[in-house]
Amino acid sequence: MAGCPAMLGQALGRLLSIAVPIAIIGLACWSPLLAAPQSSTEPDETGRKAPVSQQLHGLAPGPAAKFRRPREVSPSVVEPQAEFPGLAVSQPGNETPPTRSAFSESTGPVIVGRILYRGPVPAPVQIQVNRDPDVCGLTMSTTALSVDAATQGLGNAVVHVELAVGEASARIVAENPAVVRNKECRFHPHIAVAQMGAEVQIFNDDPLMHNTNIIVDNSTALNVAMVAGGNPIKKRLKKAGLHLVKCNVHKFMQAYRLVFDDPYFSQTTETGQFSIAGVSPGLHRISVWHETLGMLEKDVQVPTRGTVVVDLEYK
Amino acid sequence: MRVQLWMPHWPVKCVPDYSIGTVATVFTRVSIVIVTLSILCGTLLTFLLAPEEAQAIPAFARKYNTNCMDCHTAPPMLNAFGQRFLENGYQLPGVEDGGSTGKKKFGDLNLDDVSEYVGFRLVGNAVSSWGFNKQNPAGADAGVVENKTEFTFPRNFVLFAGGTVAKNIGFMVELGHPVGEGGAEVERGFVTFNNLGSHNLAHLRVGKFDPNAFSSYATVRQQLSDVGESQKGGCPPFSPCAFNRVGLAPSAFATKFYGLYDRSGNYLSPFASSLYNSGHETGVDVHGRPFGDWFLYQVGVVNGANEHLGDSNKGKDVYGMVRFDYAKSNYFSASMSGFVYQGNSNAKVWTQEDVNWNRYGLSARATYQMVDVYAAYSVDKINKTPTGVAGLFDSTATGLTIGADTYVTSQTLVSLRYDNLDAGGMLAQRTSASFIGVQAKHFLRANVAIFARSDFNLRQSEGGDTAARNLRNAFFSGIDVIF
Amino acid sequence: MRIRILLAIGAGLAMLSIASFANAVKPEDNQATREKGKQIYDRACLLCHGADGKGDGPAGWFIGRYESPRPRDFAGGSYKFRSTPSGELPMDQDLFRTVTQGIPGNMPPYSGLSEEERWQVIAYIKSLNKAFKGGKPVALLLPNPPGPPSDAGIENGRKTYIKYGCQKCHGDNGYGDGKEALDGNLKDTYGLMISPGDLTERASLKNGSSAQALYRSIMTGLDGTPMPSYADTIGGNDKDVWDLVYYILSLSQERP
Repeated sequence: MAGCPAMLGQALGRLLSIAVPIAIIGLACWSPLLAAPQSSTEPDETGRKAPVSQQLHGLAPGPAAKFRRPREVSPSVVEPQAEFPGLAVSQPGNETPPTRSAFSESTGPVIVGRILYRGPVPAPVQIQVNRDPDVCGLTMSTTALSVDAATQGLGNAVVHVELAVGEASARIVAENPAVVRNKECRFHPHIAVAQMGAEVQIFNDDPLMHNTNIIVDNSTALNVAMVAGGNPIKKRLKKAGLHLVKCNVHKFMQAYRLVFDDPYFSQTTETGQFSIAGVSPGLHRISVWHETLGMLEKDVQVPTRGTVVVDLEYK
Repeated sequence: MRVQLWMPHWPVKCVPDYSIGTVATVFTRVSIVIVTLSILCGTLLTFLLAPEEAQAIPAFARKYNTNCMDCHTAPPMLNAFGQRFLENGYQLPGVEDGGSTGKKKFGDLNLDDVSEYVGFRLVGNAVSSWGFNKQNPAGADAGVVENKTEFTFPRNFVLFAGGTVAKNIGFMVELGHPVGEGGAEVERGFVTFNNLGSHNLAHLRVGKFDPNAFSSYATVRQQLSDVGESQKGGCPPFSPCAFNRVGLAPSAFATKFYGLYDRSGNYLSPFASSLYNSGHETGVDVHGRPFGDWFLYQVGVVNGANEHLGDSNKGKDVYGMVRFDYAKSNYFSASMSGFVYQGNSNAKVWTQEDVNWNRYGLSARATYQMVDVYAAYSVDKINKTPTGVAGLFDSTATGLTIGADTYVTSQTLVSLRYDNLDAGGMLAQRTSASFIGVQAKHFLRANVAIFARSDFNLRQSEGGDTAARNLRNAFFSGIDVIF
Repeated sequence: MRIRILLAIGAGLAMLSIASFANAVKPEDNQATREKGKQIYDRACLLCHGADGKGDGPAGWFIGRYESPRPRDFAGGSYKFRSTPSGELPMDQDLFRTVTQGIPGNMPPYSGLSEEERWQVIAYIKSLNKAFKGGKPVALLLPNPPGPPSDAGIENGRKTYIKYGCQKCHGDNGYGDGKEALDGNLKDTYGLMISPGDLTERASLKNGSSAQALYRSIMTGLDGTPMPSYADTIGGNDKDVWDLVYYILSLSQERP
């Protein structure tokens, strides 16, 4: 027993000599090694249950996080004619923006607005293709941002109105198919929206083999070979979420499909306009997705009738 | 040597690569070591550009047609799966497949496929370099720094055969061959009888085995292999012995007393592995997880610690170990174990009196993704100081080893190790030591690795004429091949 | 009326006998079965696939380290080895096959578990993913291989290999050294680098190396990887696929 205090003393004495290596090991473990690709590759564990827009947060491409910002509470409800006479959906005969909302109703509230971007618009990037130049060409021009110079309206953004808390989804199987066309080594269209249950139709117009690999939530929704002259593919979209469309033999081919399990979504026009009808009255969250700019969110009080104007801007 | 002979038409592309990058440099400064190390790392990294070959398939991996990394974090260190495989007597965790997997049917005969049992490991430093204050002859060159570089490849060749002969009966035979010394020694050779009573209740090992294999930090599976000490000269029986160079065995596992002898009077190296932390002792032990995965027990009786060093062996040594595990998800596992080893008359002092030398140890390990951190601390006690050395002998010694490994790429492992030895024993001879070691190991294939390593003596500044203090640093580069 | 009752009894008896036959090999998927499955899972599968089946077991990371594969995520990941169309869940038989045979180079075979135990584990694994509660997956038609390959068939297979774009990943000679592989363009759905199969190493083919297994891989694709499904695009052009299968088999030697 007499040895015990001595041992304790020795052990305490060791503490100093232990501290040095622990610090070194600590440094080694905390260094960039831990910041490795894992974080981005792990599946989002809540993703399967979360609303689509939340999934989009997790899945939005790299820059998204930078642009995420606190939600603002909505502007007041305005009379449709007051500021945006041209946008009121309820007015017959005017220039309704050609949105792709799968659902429209002549009565009930309508959410309209514009997605704006006033920041610098980078010049199109020319990438070297290096694959099948006869069909794909030698270079390919990619434009990440489509901004209307006159209005600063942002095209190819996707707006979604989430259901009010506790609200059951209006499950309408959209008849509009989601088309993915392989043409000149690009997917056409680049961005599109669809409702869950809609048919995805995949065509290959090129005289060479592509594959169309659609990935949702880090898992394969569909990965089909598209041999030259082969049959087109027709499948149902079974999962909501951000669908990343890739061709593994032409790595520059990439597109997105946003699939929602309700009909309250819209893709912006070239001038950044959108319109979503049929939303129930109450407080809703509006989320906007853009391929490179990321997500925007805003809470909006939707009245029983009339039009709510919501403008959101990527800064 | 064409290993393909053992496994015809098998999906293996493991042809040994004996080409060794040899760099002989004399180091006078730590910075030079670092520069050289980084150059070597650069050389290693160029290997990265070579296209990756198919996974290597050493013995057990061959048997199960799987990947080394199913069982190892960094061969030969085991991961949680590999540990359970070992515990289950070389059967898949949770499965008693010893009688079925790896057997070939020829008519009525159920034969073993020998290629799936045999493997070998070849490890050696191509270059070893260190600096120390020259001590020999005593006084003549005191204080003169001598730097030494040696080519010592290969250092060790181990041939092993392991597997199962039937359901719940496993075996392992390991022949170690220190190259250059000639002859081979049975490092380990034992039979296991598994799942006695019920699944994972009790597993029995009989033979010559490594008692610590189930501890959180198993001695024989340490990443940075040992480098032996160098004695100053011939040491007559029961007389003091001095050292030119200390060994770099992990201090928690090393013998820690200066001035102990085996029954023939041979000096017991203060840097040798011994007691529970020994690679081979003969006896019997039992382990199991009777309450689920979280708890492992082990008890054993062996002839005696330092058996290979010449235990006086008047009584058997006994030990017990408990281990607590957490291994569920998130690529994370952790374990902590503690052991008590009671050594019975297992050494002598210069007056030829016996000592009872006991060891108490704690070890812990945690892995998360690519990071593997482990530590062991042991306290050695000689309960009754022999009368002949009363007042001259420190009867307590401690050792601490902390290690960390991490993969910086899929094939490159970086390791750090810290060792602190607070020696006991004869006060006149006793010397403590602290080292820090850095290693980069690049797996050219899953089973062929080249490594470069440097150890730094943290107590260098104290000076003096004892080996542990005057060892400046040591650099090693070599190859590790496992088939 | 009587006939109806007789028919009903007959049908009932028939179903009963089928059920009892199934019980002899494959236990009914009920709570008790799943609980037994969980016990086996926890000691045999958990260490790699994780306590919740997310593929994040304590030993799971080291298999691929920074590269694919990591252990399968049963809860949300793609199932590679199926006999069902791309994007669909596997059949029970598919899971059974993988558990029994293992995955060459990645997962050991669990033939050491009894058939009943394997089915129990599968029942438990399926309970980890809600999607299994939905509609039952339907397997593609996987016919038996036609007669022995002819030289002309293998020659057609070689042409099909190019036509189907196999060489882009698997390389001109099937070594898994296609341009996309060498350029490091091939990633799994988690973004981890993945190597195409070396078609000249028959025993390393993960989804099996029999003619029918190769046919299955080509037709269904390997979800989670860049390997696409060819079933839809080639329609009913079975002959080309079989010729391709025999061409691929001609690239390697059978293990003795």
